[in-house]
Amino acid sequence: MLDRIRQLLDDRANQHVGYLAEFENPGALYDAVKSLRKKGYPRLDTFSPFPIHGMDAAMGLPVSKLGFLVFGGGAMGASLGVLMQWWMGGVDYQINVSNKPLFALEASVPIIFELTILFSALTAVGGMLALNGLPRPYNPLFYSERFGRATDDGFFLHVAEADTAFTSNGTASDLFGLGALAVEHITHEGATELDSSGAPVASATSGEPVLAVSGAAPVTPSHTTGEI
Amino acid sequence: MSALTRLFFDPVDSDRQRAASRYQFTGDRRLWLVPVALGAAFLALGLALGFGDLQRFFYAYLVGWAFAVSISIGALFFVMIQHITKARWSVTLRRIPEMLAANLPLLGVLGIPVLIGYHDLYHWSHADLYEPGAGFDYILAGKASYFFAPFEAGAFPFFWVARYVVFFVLWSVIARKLYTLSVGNDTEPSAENTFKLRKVSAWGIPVSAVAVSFFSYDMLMSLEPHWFSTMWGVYYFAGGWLGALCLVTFLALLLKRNGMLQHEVSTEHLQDMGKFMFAFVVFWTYIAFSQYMLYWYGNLPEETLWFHKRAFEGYGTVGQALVWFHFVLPFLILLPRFSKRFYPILGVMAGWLLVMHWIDLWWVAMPSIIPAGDHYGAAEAHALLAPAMEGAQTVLTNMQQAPILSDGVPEIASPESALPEAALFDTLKAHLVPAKFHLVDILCGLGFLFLLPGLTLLRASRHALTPYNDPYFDDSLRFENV
Repeated sequence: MLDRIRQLLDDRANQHVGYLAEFENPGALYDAVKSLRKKGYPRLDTFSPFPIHGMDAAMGLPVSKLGFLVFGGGAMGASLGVLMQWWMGGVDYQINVSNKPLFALEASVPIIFELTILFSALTAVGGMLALNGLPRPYNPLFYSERFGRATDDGFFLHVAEADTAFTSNGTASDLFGLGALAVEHITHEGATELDSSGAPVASATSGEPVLAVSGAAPVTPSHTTGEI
Repeated sequence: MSALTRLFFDPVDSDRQRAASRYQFTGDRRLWLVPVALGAAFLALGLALGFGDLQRFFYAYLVGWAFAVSISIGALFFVMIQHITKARWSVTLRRIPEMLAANLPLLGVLGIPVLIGYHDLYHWSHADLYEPGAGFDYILAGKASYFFAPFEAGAFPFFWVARYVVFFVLWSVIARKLYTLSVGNDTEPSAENTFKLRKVSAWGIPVSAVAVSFFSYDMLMSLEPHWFSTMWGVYYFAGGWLGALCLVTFLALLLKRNGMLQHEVSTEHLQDMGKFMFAFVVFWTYIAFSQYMLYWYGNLPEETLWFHKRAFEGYGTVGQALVWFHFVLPFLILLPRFSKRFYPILGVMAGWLLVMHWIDLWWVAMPSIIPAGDHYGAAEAHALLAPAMEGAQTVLTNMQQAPILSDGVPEIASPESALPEAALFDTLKAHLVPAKFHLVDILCGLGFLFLLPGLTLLRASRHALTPYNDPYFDDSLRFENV
């Protein structure tokens, strides 16, 4: 049991060790995902600034478990509401209000309703965070300087090293063959840019984390200066 | 085409010659005759069977007709809201609610039996309520001008009829504009049409909203003229909107099943209709419960009377059935994504909820039948309320003497012993016709259930089934749920 949990945590920690490829636009990313799935890569991940229609199906993602969690949360909230109303009004602290029954469903429905909503909402937010493994303050992807644009105008595809179809040079040529603009090798040590044969690009062979070597003055992103 | 058919059936000449053929109705063009003939036959049979008890027939007809009107108004709102929000997803299936709303002029005419039978339907129409004497009803005398102005109370209900005419003229004008502009855009596309449609919707929504509220007060709430609910208009509207969503979904599925709108109306659009249905199942419940809870809390005799009548003689069972079959089960069934994308379930739910909407209106109207010869006036009304008043008095006295916080269940102020409920209920029951789904009720309901889609098919077989030249049509085709 403990071994399985350790394995699960290890898997999650190494989830993003592998190749990160940048694509020009959502369409290219979508096509690349479809082709890679056809080539037999099961462990892909994609990053884009906005949801891409049809990407879930292209990636072969299963139906989210979140809905079932939320339903359970809502049902729990409703039951708790009934129990609370019955216990407080009908048993523990009886107050006669205009001779209404001490516990009545009519008067309790608003409370039950609100607790259902509250528990559903909390389960939705908490469940979403838990299923996504968030918050995650460290992720090896952060070594890639390009990756910052995943929240702006970059479209990225990630192939995990743990993927059964992954080979260090085959995958790189696959990605370039599908129109990748650049491919980086992401490890816990840093990000290295690769060429189509899977070998490090000459200028980036240091293997040092990019964040650590960037001593130059910060560049102002073009979109904040109004130049685009 | 004569002016009358243009006014009541289809304001636009058939454009089958000019409209793109791939968007047209491919079935038999006379298919609409089948449901229309069936509907008319059901109504005629209802009248024949109800001839012995015309009052029952008028009630049954009112329920069926109010059912059809509410759905058409729901469809009208649906179209206007799509325009005013510049909705793109719904463009491909917008023609169906447009055609449904175009039934409104004819429904205005089909309401004439209700106007004819107003004396059997509406207790407030009895002249003896306004004459000084034993029968005088001072509550209704205070409300009389709302029905009879400018005439004296008990005469011809001019104001009531005038409102009826004004509402149907307004709805018909709006529905006609939405229909003609949209259909006209198929053959002579112009961005101008889209702007005009938005303009109509902008003033059409508030005007129709006010009209539907007062319409529901006039036609359904005034069946119980002593009673009042400010929530009533929304209640009627919520049911009608849900009915419209169900009928639109049902017709879209029917057309798809017969090979039409294959690519235009996709699973994505229908899933959204399913979401809408789910949302308005909840909205109807929310409104119905809000209305009930306030009266339950207030517990004033003149307000709870309406619910008391609907809690006895079988009506209580129907009311409870509504909770289960108009809310709990549809809620659970429509909740998962799967059931909204699986056509058989979606179609069954649409039909189910349409029937439930009819039962809802039946439950609203039927308990108001006062048995023939049972014209009770103020004296009887007082006798009816007296036990409740007495009970309230006893409770008040008891409460003044009882400690507010007690260790156990308060003894003297227990509701069972203080309220002579049994006596009150017996008095009430004496004035109730036991609940029963008469054949006449069902025939009238079925009549309108067939007429509505039949008349819609008539228009569908003359024009394109989807507004294919709408500027947002391509966006709608590409629509996807993330």
